[in-house]
Amino acid sequence: MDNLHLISAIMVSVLRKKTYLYLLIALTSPLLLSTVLLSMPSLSMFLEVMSQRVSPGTMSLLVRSSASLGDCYPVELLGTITLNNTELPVLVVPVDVFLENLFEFKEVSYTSDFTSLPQEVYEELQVESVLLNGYTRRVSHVHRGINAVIVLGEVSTESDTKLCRVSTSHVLKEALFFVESSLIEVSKRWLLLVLLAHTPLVYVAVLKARRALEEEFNALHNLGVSRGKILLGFSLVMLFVCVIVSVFIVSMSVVIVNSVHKFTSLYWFTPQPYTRSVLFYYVAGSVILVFASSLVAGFKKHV
Amino acid sequence: MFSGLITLLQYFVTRKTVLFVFVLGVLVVLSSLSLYALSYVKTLSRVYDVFYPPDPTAVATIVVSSDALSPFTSIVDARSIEEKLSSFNNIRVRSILVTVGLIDSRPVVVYATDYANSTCAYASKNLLEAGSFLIGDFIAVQSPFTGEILVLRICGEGDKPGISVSYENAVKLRGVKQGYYSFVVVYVYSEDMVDKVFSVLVPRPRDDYTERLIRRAFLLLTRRGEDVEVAHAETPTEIYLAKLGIHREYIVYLAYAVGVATLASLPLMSIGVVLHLESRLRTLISMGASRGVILASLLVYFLIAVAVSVALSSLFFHLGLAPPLVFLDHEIPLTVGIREVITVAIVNCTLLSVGVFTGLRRLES
Repeated sequence: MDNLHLISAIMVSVLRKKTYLYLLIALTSPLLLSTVLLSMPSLSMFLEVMSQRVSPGTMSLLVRSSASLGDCYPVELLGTITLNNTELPVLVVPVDVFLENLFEFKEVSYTSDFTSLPQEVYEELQVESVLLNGYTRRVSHVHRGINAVIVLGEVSTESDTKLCRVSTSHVLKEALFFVESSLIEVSKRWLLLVLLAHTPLVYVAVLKARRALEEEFNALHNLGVSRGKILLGFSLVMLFVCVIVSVFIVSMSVVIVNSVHKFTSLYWFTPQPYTRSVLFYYVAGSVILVFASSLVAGFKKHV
Repeated sequence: MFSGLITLLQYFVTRKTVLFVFVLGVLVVLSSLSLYALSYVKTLSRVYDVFYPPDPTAVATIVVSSDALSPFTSIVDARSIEEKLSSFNNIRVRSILVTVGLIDSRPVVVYATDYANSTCAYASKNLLEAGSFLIGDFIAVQSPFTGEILVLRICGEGDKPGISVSYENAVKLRGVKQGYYSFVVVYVYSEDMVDKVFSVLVPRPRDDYTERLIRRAFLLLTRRGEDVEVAHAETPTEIYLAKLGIHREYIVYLAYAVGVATLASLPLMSIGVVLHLESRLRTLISMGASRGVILASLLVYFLIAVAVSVALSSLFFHLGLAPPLVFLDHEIPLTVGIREVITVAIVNCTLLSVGVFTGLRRLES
């Protein structure tokens, strides 16, 4: 009997004795939960759809990270200066940055050194000059948008503080993605534990399947097929059955999720569910679990 | 029959200790995961409650908020409410401003407090523990509403979620005028005042409002033209979720659906145990043991396992070992109620019994 015949013989027995039902019971819970929880509506995707309706805008963002967010310039925050009991941080911006792009400036006096104060502070305190590093600097500009004194100077390109010009929708998307990803992270960890907790149940399902096929295995053994070959054939069939069962559960779950969404959207607005690709790993995990369990169950002499 | 049951139970538990410990282990893990899901979804539906300070001595607490999807976007003119209520005594009015700011493009809760000055921010314990900044560092908080950047120094640890800043800075980040708050909480300390306070805040109230107000913790009032519709809510967060079309019932259904689905494969567990004990059970039957006694002893066996596992899982939550829910950098500890514990125990028992029945039927056939 060649290998293909052996596998098809075991496959036919599995289908005839409906042993795939045990696998279906064991895997429904982890895979249904994985599909449903990993299909939660994506807030950032939702914003992408919404942002097509609003006019695009940009905003300046002062960040402390190495990640690039758009047009970024390294800047430095150099301590504070005190003006009439008001403490103001000092932001050093490299000379080659085109500041007009980042903040709204207004010239108040002509001087060779660029020193800009927040407009509110300038109007409230009426200061003409500031003391910085022991030097008195005349205020040349006022600006809006940041509560810091802006001066031009040398900034190391290694500085991890960056001033970026980013589109508003991008910033909002990042923020929503952060909220969403914390939920997804918790779900992912919880689902992994659920899948692992199902290992004994998957093992019992495979053991039941193996037990139901005992007669067939004996018959095959009597035909001269080695036990090892039967065991491998059984494990491969279980792997194949598991793939079919998993795909069935996942697709049914996707249908359920989308039907619930369609039904609820008849009555009120619900964002579109979005199935994340990470689900693939959970399906792969359960397939590996079944294959490993089949091998272990096969080694058991008396079942 | 009773002595037979005890003997069998004794045999199952003491002679097959490894099997019992294994069953217990699986049940503890699955029950804990189920309770975690239940408690997580329920806590998520109360995520904003931390912003509403309770006062147990108050007879009624009235929250005045604007029609918004979250407390972060609600705006209320506190002065107009204070003026309306200025003639009342035995009440306390508290205005709260809470909004969101972006630090390194990550959203954090921004809370207005009295103790912060114009250049200081106080970060919550969680934010400081996250390690992205230390006390004394400068942080740039960006307003998602106006784009304004506030560079503030971390002056210490705050007692509120997210970062605590002065009211003036919070107003700048929210992009509103001075005098505006996210919501105003009115604490009423005498029962006969509730009626009067309510009639000042809500023009044209119907008679049954006051009664419902005292009976229910929270009311959702929606103005539609001249009429004011009333619905009740158990927590403030519910009011915001209701605006998104998510009602408490749906959250409870979702929580229980996830919790029950986690346990759905349990019949396999009891089938597996029957399978494992098969040869012993066959011997017992051939020795004349009644099937009823075997069935009863297996059911009691699982009942004990469920009771122990559910108790251990509840203890796990009670000791605070379950990871808390983290929302916008503030942690909310998860707790489980007796109702959830009983539900999980009942679902466990039912599913395991189904498995025992199926296993024994197969055994007999």
